[in-house]
Amino acid sequence: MAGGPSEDNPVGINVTAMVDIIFCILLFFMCSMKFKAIEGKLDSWLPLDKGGKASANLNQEKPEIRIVLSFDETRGIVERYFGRNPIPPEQGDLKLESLIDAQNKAYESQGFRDDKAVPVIIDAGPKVPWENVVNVLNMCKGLGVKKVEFGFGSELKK
Amino acid sequence: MGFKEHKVHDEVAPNLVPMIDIMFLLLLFFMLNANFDARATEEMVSPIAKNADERKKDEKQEGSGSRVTVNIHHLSEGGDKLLCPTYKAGKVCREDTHWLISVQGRRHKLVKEDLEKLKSVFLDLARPFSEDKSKPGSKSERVMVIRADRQAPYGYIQKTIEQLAGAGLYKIEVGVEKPAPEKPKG
Repeated sequence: MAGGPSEDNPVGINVTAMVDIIFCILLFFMCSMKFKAIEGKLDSWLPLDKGGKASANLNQEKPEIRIVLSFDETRGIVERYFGRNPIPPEQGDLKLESLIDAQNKAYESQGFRDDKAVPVIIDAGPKVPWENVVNVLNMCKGLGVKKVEFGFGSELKK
Repeated sequence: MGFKEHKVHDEVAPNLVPMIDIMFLLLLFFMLNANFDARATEEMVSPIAKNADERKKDEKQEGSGSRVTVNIHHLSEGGDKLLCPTYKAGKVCREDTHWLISVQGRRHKLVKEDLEKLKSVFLDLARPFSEDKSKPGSKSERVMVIRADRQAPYGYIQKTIEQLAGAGLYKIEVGVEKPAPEKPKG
């Protein structure tokens, strides 16, 4: 047996116990092994001066791009609004994306850029699934929008 | 008769050394890949966002720098012994009692008392990074990572955001899953 006493090495080490333990540890780590998905992050900020509550006012003088998401319980779908204008579900993400992009570029040409960039406020209702909110956040990130903020309240007032 | 009995000693001695070498390598691989920060991140199905920035290795470690993860997740079937047919069917479960907000291994239900406790947890987390440490709720530079289940109703995330805003935590990162990179065709 390997590890047993031999002519050269009279002191034999019994490796069987060690192999047993290593097998146990190996089994534990193999069973607890989990291949993790690639983790990503999307940066956003809470409105510093307002917290989460004050962004309920739709008639603000301060420029903003507001996306309102509302859950229609009768149809079981999420309705999307660009400001007060509804985006028909059949027009999909492309329509909303083009509206955000056009509005953002218009504000940038007016000098609202870098630190003064106009925020895109995602204003979703409490019943809207998180997945839909992240979808808009992802859209903004793809369009290179500098400021994305979470607001809530106006959906309830509609 | 002088028959001699020959005993055949058929001693098979497999060489264990290469096997032990390979086992050690496997053990090392699994040990290095093991993830022991389960307290920071709860089991959930995160939403997918292809435009998300990939989180750096040091950002994934809980407690490194100023990052703390807030998990908004559904009760799991294994540990919490819950069988929610709505959630299981991939639909949006709107049962308040089925959802939890977990921070640093501590779980909070969506009830008033627990939300107050959550706010005090956030205030404690915000204080070391606050502009004015004597004033609770003053602006804090700590980054909070919101990891929510893709089916979580936004109302629960709103409640979390409200508590964060109240504690002066305004730097929010949304934890998502990035889709696996596409393999080039051909």
